[in-house]
Amino acid sequence: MLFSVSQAQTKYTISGFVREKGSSEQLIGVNVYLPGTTIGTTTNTYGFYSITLPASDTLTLVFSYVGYLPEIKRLKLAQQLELNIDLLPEALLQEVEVIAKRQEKVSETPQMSTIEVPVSQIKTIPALLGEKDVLKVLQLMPGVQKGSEGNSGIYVRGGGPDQNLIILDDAVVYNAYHLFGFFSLFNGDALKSVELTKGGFPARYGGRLSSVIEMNMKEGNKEKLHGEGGIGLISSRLTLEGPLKKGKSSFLISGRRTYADALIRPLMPKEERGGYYFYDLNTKVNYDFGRKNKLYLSGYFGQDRFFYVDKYDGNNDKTGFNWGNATGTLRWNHLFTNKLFANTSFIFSNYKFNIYSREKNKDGSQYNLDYFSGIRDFGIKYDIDFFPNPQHAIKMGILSTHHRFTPSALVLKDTDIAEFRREVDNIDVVESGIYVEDLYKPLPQVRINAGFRLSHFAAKNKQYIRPEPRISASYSLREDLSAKASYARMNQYVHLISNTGIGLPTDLWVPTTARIAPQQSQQIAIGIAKDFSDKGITLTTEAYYKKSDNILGYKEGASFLLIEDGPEGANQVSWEDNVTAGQAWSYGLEFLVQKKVGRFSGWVGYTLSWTQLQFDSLNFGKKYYARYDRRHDISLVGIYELSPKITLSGTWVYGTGNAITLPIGEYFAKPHQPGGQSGSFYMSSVNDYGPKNSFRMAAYHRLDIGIQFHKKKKWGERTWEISLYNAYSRKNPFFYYIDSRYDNNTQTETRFLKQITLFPIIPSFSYSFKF
Amino acid sequence: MNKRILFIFTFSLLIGFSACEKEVTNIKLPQASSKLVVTSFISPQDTLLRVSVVESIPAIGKSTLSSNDIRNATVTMSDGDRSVTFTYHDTDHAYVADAEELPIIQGNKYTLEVNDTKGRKAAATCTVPINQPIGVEMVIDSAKSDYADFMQYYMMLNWQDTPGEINYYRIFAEIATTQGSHSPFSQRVYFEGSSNDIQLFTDNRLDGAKFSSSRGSIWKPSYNPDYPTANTLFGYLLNTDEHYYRYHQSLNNNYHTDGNPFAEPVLLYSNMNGGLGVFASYNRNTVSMPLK
Repeated sequence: MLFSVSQAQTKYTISGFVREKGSSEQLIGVNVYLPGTTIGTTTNTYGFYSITLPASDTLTLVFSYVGYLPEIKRLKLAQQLELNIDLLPEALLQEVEVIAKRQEKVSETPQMSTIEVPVSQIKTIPALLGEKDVLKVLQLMPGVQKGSEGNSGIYVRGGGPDQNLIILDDAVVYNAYHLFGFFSLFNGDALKSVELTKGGFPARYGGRLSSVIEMNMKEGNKEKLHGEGGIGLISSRLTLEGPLKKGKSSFLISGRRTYADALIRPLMPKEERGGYYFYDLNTKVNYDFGRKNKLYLSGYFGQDRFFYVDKYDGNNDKTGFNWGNATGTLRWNHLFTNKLFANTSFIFSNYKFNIYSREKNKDGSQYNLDYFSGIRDFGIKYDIDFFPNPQHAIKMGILSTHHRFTPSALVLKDTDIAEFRREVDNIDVVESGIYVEDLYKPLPQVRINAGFRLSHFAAKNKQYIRPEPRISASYSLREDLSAKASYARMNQYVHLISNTGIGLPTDLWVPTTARIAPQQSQQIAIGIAKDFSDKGITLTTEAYYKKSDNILGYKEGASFLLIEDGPEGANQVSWEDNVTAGQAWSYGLEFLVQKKVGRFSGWVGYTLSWTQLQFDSLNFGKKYYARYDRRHDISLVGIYELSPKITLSGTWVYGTGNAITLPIGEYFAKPHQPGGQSGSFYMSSVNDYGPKNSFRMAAYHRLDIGIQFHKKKKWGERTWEISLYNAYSRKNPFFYYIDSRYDNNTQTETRFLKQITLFPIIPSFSYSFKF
Repeated sequence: MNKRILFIFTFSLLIGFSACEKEVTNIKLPQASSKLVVTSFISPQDTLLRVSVVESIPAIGKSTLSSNDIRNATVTMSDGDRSVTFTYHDTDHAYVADAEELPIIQGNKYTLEVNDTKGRKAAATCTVPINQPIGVEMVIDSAKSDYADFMQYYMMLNWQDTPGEINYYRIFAEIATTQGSHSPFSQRVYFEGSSNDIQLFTDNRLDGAKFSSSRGSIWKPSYNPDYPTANTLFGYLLNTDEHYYRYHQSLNNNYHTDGNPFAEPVLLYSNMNGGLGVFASYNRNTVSMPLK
């Protein structure tokens, strides 16, 4: 035995940062452990680790991380040690079979219900129109579902897309979608890690009911200039990263833009100009002041714009709408001691939606009408990581965010009638949380992450304070096999009011008010995790039960601002009157076999689940299945490196059809007409629907395949990719409607059900490069 | 290179975004037989009781929607003691009975039953609400129109809710015009906000409060000036039962979302056992004022 516990021995701390060799990019979640024991730790979000061990002459410490060659250090521990490690990415090794590589073991962490997808896999999985999409890859995981065809919205364990906390470098992203939800706004080239937590939430997260999707941007290569880019069917992208001051400071800038508008411009008349585009830009700079202090500044900016400009007779009319997010985070890492790491973040996030109409006549008169809605955050967050000894790893922190909601703002300027109007309806609230959690290993077989979060919400005239206990634990049954259980209570103080749930820009974030209480959920999960270390395969099975209260639903017939209403129709909506509170039950079973590395990698996921809703004012108070209730959901994902030059990939998904409401009959409904005209009933034809969501759409299934051809060039590497979305052209239903056909011969009308399919087989190809 | 991308782009757009349609055969289709749709609203102020009977058609299949009444049904209404059988009247497009045969009295419970020759049966009950609102008043204002030389009238209805019980209200207003010896002619007053809506209120969160309608407006009718014309504005405050309120609320919602594929489908309220439609009651308060 390399190591034995003895109370008498003096203890020393080994601490440092783990980075990627070649870029000095800090690595998150690297395992640092004593081989043959369960003693170990992992690096935090900034690549820092600290482990305190008794003095020893021959200490072996292993650093291992998926996709990297493990590093084994033999040390003499007789004093405090600072040990920075650079791990070599396997991608840089050619034709070398890596033996005795150790994966991060799912059986060794108490954390459950967590999914991590290597960013490199995201880039290999075939995608609609070749646009790689982080959120769509997460949709391929058990317990995570998509809403409708082609959409990036994420439904985790029965919760809606508004119940996901999406954070990019500590900043909350409020509308994560481009082009009405068909693409998410996260650019894989700029991301270092993506992690989804769907249950057993650690206390450091709060504010949403169903999931946390945490994304961290790369810091930028500290050693040399590196670039990546691509040309696809709908967009082009380019990323540049490199040192500003070698070893000390680096930058990253990554942009993407669609070009449909530029392509159609030549086809439009000269006086008219119109189109659509979206772009996004990720930037990050950092400065390393040495071991003790590090500073990071990162930002995201993105917009979708629909515009139309018409010039005639010296007049100039512009109309359109646009929406976009901007986030900014300034982070300061400070190492107080080699056991105490602190980070302070200053966070900004803004989401704004705008419809406008601007007319300028040749006589100089102007008419401007602008409608805005949005949310803007300023936040401060302070987190501490404390590693007193190998039994405990403590995290604590505080977060406070000032939200300014602008459910609607109207600015009108009309010079003809000398009118200027500004109706801005701002709501200011403060949301805060304080937490502490301890990863505690009382026995070699037992790991517990116990935490507590106290959340607070202060709105005008109303305050809420809610305790949120969190606990998850694992027990090793055998080597590489453990049983896990968790409980978490969550509160959500901001709500998304949506017409459709498909991520339209008109979706409106609104706060908890005196009338609308916070949404709350409780979730328990139990599971088994097994590592097949020699094969690099992990297997997890989980069962969960989630009960949510005070969730928001839309009253029957509720409809919010629609784009076709234009700016004029925008201001008449009282969202508080359109929503209703209810409850939800979700439970199910998830099964995942995953292989993250090797020539053949991928996963098999299966979910068996039920989701039911009940609202007093919907479906006459009776329980019903949620639209996205999905009994069976299967996903198969495979990536095979046929040769160093050719990568094949494929995904196949299957899901039970959505629960929908279809008319079962039609009739004329008569209102009561009081007064003198009581002789005449006015009538309208209405549908007889029967119970809500009592029909099922046809099952959804689809195969996507892709092939990538890589070639090393003098300057770097280029890749051609050809892919097929919906390879066997399954006609999946997008929605149903009732259509009729009139037969002139028999003079009868036949009504039948029709379906709309959005995407049949869609080939795409793209070119990408990196250097 | 660019040309090729352009070509592929256009091609993908063409085949990709031109969504395709097909008839659905691979799911359990909505199945429903034709149902009786019975509609009747009763109040102590009625002199004639009316019941409308039509039928629904299955959403899928070969039948054609018609507004034609079912004329050969047996329609009976009873208060537990007395019972009256209705007769179909062509001019009224409804089954009617004289209110004297079955007086509608507040607080009493009534049962409506409809049977047709195909063996279909629909039945419902309702209890007539006790007239409660206090201080029903109508406030009128007039102004010259911005657009023409017409007189425009504005009106509001105010009343006080009775505390300690759940109340439902509907308001309605119209101008009745009599000219010479012609029979009176009515025009509906439109209220601000959603002007086509049926104006409904509940004291759910406002128990005992003073209620005000939104502002209603109407043009002063202009007729042949050779005849003497009398205009009277009538305001009605109906103190309704819950069936009345929920049925009309769902009709309003249905009207708003008609044709919007993204809105939540509206389930139309019905209290009719074995059928569709509603049997509801109300108590009417009328205020009137001659217009100058």
